[in-house]
Amino acid sequence: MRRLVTLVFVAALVVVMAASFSVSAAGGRVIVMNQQEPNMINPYLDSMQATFDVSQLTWGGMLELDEKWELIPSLALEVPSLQNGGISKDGLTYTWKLRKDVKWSDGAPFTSEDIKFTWEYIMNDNLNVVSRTGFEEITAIETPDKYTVVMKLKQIHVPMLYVWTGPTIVPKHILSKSKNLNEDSFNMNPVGLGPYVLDKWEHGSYLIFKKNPNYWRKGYPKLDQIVYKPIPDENTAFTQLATKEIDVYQTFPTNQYKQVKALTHVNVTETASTYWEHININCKSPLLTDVRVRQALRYATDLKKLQETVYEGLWPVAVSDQGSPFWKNAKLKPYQFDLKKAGQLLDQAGWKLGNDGMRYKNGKKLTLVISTTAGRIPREMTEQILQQDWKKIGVDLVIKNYDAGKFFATYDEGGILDTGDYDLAVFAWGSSPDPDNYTLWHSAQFPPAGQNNVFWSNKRVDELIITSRKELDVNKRKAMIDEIQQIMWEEVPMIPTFYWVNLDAFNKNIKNIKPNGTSSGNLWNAYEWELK
Amino acid sequence: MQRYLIRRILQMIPLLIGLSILIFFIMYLMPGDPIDMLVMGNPNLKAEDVARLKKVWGFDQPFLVRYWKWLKQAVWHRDLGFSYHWKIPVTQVVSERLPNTLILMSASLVLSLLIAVPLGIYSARRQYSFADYFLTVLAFIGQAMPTFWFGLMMILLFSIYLKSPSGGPLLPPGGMMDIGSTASFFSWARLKYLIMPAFVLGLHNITSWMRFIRSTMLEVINQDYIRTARAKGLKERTVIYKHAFRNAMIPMITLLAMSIPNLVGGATLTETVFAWNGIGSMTYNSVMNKDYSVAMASLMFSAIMVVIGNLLADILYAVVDPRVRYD
Repeated sequence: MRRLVTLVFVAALVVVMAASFSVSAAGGRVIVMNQQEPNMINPYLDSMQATFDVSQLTWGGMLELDEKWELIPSLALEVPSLQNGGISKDGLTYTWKLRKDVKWSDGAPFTSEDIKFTWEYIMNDNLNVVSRTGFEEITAIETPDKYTVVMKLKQIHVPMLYVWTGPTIVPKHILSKSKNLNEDSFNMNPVGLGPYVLDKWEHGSYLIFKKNPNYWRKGYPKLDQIVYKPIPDENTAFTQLATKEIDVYQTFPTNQYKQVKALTHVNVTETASTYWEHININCKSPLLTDVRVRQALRYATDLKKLQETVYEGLWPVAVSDQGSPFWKNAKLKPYQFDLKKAGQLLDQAGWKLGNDGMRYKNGKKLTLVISTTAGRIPREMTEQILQQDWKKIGVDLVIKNYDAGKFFATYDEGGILDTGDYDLAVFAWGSSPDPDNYTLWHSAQFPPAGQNNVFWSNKRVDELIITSRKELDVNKRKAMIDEIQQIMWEEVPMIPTFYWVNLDAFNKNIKNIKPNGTSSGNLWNAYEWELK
Repeated sequence: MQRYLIRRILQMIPLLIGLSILIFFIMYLMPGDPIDMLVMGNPNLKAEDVARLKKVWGFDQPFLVRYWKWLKQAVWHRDLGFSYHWKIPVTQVVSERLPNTLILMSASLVLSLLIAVPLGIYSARRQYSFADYFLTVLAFIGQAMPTFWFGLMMILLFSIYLKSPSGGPLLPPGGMMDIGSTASFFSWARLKYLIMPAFVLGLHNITSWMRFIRSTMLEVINQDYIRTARAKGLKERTVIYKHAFRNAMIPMITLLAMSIPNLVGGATLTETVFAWNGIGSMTYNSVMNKDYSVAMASLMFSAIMVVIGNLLADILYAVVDPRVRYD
């Protein structure tokens, strides 16, 4: 009912909008909508995308991740590498050269001391930081002069550069005097190195950011103001886009695609994200230990149909756990939907068709339980389509969904995924731009130790993961990551389904839009944004 | 009366403690906690990190320990705790939103009364007339219409079809003020944001109260004392407003007093449709994000208001109706 109502409403709206197009005079201001409100401006203490977005505006980092997911220098003069000597031959020493004449937004000079302090800040036991991954690998940071930083590592840590990318640096001259780092006012209104500073935060309504007068890129930022406006409801957000109350509508749902496209004053961007949707196969479940059964299920998964009916044809079909164009194994093809082949594989595995059209082995029926978080419509639709299709090959699929809290809870709390209390599970993982998936696939990472909640173990993959984590040569590492994907393609510990696509709408009068599907988001280059 | 009051207030204490245990327990029963939500979809979060964060926020403690901590803090230190989701003290989260909710809810309450009372009286005086039937039909439509849908239709009409003389929408489609505005609450710049949500929210009250006033008025209007009043030669106005309406108002008082909790409880759907930053959406978000301290504060606050509203209704009864006496 709600869908229908929305549809009627939206259709009416589109007609009206088409009839009444007028030019907006935004001045030097862009209003960016987001579904959620950030709860602070410190990405170390919270992992919400909204928090990340506003940190992009106000914080700085030595490197940035551009729209092609490539590292570019920001406060560092160049990206350290083996070639330029920034990374030592043994991979254990990183040397960074910093830009001179950079100032914090309060006018204090930015120096190598701030980098060292940032590391100490993260490692401070009193700070309730979400994760110390990467920072823990550093044993010491030396500052030979004001603009040089030398980092010593415990062991090779290939993703080290990403640790220092994007909003990452905190000011020593402010936080070294803090009495309570967790509740410091810095977390709400930071002194930063970014193009903007917070001007006013009207909680629940909007955040206004104004130009940082001390920003290091001369002549930037171009806009006078960026307003970050949380709007929880999709219909409200759409109306506000249509009436030009907002200029940017971030990550709108696929079911609004046609309506947003119909607005003449906006451009729609489709950006590949780091998230990939998949179906976990519990390799520990007695029914699913046989690889032929897992392959059969993959052959019986009609990705084309799912793509059209569930994702409006917008999300690309996934072949592996790697979404990045560079790390994806280009030789792998998606399994072709083939019920006959699926049936043969089940026959070979000893699951024979009974009189009722279902499969049996030793008198036991092939009944599998599929689970996801209740209320996510696309995932529930996926389950229903699989239920119908798999019935045709004699697999009885039972749907049993849970509240997200129960589904993702830890092992100790009896979480469905971590305790392996499922046969198949539909959800998504978000990867980082680095391809390392140690916690997902290494056999030492069964819960509670890690997140290998498909309970899959493969000796060769274990070996490849460990060696690839230590490989500094990108091409050699790429070969190993390719092989891992190849093995997973054959062994099917999970069925990769789709890569997420972020749909964003931007008012056509904004120049230099370069959306990035990682957590860098749309605002990573907001300093370049300009009004036509 | 005094003894009655003291007794009622003393009765509230065990009631509220019982309620707080119940609410806390239901929150506790919800599977998972905010740290589990962090894990969702993030393969880089280590088990050690999860355990460390749970300890920091006290999510690893058993029910009774957590409840006792909360109660001790709230009662002895008058401290509602720190919001996990908003990362600021709970009192600050609530105090930022409470004025917004109070404004929206009282505006809608006043608007509802202003519309419902005259229409109800009118309807009763002209029972079975065309106007009466018309209002009755409207009342049922208003009752049946889902709030969010009515809200969207209002936006369609007033923000998209109808334009203001300066070219923008006649009424803003959502939010609470122009961005960066410092206008006071009672200026047009702010009031224009209030009109639609207040009306949409009031629709339910308008239609139900109108029907309610109509029926109580009908009951009173046929009483002997009204006939007597008319026979005395009083003006019809006096008869209706002084004699009939005052008596018909008595049951209305219960209804009004019962709507006091709504004043601070907010209205999640309307707030969401109009992007109004109130208590309703705060409560919803805190429950969805398992932000226990905020959810507890806001649910307890509503509970207290329900209890107070009930008491107030009983007291007002005695005030307006001389026949009612408590001791």
